[in-house]
Amino acid sequence: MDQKLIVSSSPHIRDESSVQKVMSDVVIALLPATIGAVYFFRTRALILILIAVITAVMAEAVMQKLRKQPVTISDMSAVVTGLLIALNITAASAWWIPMIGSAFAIVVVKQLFGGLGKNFMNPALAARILLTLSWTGRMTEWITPGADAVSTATPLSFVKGQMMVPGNAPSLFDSFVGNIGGCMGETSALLLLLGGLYLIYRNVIAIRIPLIYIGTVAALTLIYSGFNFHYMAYHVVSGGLMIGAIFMATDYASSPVTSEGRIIFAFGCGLLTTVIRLFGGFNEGVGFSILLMNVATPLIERYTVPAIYGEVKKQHA
Amino acid sequence: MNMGKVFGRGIVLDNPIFVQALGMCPTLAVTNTAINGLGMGVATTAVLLGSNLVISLIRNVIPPKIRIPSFIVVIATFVTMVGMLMKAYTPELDQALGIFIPLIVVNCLILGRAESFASKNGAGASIVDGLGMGVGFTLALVVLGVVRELIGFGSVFGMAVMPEAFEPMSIMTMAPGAFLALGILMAIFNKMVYSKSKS
Amino acid sequence: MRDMIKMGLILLLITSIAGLVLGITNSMTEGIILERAMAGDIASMQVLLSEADSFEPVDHEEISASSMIKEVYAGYKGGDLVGFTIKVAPGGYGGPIEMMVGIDATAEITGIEILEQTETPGLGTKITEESYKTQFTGLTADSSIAVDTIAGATVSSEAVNNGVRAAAALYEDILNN
Repeated sequence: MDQKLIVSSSPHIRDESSVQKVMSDVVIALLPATIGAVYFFRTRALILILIAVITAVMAEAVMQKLRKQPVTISDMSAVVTGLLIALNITAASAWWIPMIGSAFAIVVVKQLFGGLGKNFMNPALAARILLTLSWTGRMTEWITPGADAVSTATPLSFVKGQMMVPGNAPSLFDSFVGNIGGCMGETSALLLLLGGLYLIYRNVIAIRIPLIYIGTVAALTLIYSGFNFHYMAYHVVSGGLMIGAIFMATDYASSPVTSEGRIIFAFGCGLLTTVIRLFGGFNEGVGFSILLMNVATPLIERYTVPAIYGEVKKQHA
Repeated sequence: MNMGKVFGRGIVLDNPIFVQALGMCPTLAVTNTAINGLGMGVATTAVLLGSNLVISLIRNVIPPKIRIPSFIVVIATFVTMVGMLMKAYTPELDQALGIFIPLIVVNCLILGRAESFASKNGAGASIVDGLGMGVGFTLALVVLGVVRELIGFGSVFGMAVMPEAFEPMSIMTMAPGAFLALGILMAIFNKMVYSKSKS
Repeated sequence: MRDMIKMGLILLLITSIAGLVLGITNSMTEGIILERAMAGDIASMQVLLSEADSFEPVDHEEISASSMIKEVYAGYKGGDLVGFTIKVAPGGYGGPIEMMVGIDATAEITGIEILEQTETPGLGTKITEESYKTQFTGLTADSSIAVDTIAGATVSSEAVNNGVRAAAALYEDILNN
């Protein structure tokens, strides 16, 4: 009798979802932004995306072989990480930038900490920060969309240190659609929102984290600028906020599982992002804020454990 | 007591950095280049030798209740002396290590050896222990410094060794790079020692 | 009670010996350290004002009243004024940064030298690198001088900017007259 009966604690309700299904949904949700990146930045974007994804999948396979574990590259999680890294770098990157990023994300951040679901911070984001700190010049070498790419600045660099949007900055509409300089996948808020709506429709992510995250940034920039709605909207659609809030802050492994915890987590992300954007040394603060809140996740979870039904409240002496 | 064993313990089995994880502040802060790691290692070893010797000599006259303040006074004296000597004779190294020279006082490796070894053993053994621990600390710092300098600056002991096209990975010269390199080196070191001691 | 006195006396003895040893070391090394610092200062002055063959300290109540400005020397070549070296100490990330700014008689900055600093190794210490320091060379000394800050070392590089501005302001207000 080789079939053993599995005895486990509740819940016993089974669901169709699997890692592969969830990850495939994320890939589908990232497709609009990926196609957008290829449309805006042409073949150079395509090549960088391929390098990032292939490196991530290969690194995953090699590490799992070395760790003598079953190779699970078909679960698509490495594909998602690679794709996110590609979308998080500038189209002007050298070929080795996505390669180092993907390898670092998978080998160090994901596999060395135990593999899928064990990473304490978002691998793609950790890779982006590693790359930004290592090759600051290369990582902030933005180019304009189109075939004859020339160097340009990101919308966020125009509003840095300003209380309002200066006249020479790209228009709000261009920022929303993605016809601006920036990382390949974060320029178009529109395409990212499309992907986000799909994920919410498919129940892959709860709307809570992105909504509170973006809402916090919106509210704080609105107050800071003295109720300048143009300034607020500019901050919301520019930079990495959309891709961060929808695809990275919602990472299962590195964000809190409790519903109260998620509210605190998303609010913290929004607060830190705004503070870094308005007062920090960098133009963009999404990456740092999500990573910092990732690190705070175990603490948040500890303080937001829901009461078990029937549990007696502890008596405080 | 086997002196060879006392000496060797500090280098491998009880390596202050890779095994005991003591003195992390200077370890992470100044190892961005190999020469800084070496300088910090030698300075710490000098202090460790002096404090171990003096503490083992006076261990019988110090009442247990005030041993910690006494140890700290001895250690701080040696650190200040080393600091003055470095300022006078190796000003460049002193510039590079900056605030971390006076901070040797709070390196827990030194108080740790005073408390756990020098205050219980004779002068000879204490010197050997201080030397072993100091060499182990210095070696670890230099290895860390070489790795970080190679990747972060493309050089080793100030000599460029990487090909022209190599673009240094500046994160390795910063604090996060120190943590990354230390974690990976620690894993490799323990894997090597562990698999050796098992066979 | 007797115990307390005994422990106190032992501590007193240890600290006295420590003090004595440190005193001896200090008297041995003090001269050398000062000499090195002076030699460094004069060498820096010579680097900043290479034409000058003699240096004279400049005294002014503004200088002695300022906490930022430490010393000012005027450089002469055969009796003609060629410029000034101004030692300033702006507050950096890890304490004051002692640096020297050279300004020639045509209000052009001839360069800066970092004399002593305790900035974070690998980050703030980048202010001592040649490629950073030479950015100031050739700028006109006025109080709005600033060069780009170093990524990851904003406080340290802002401090250097502050120091250069203070030196430039001193030049504009007093030395130029």
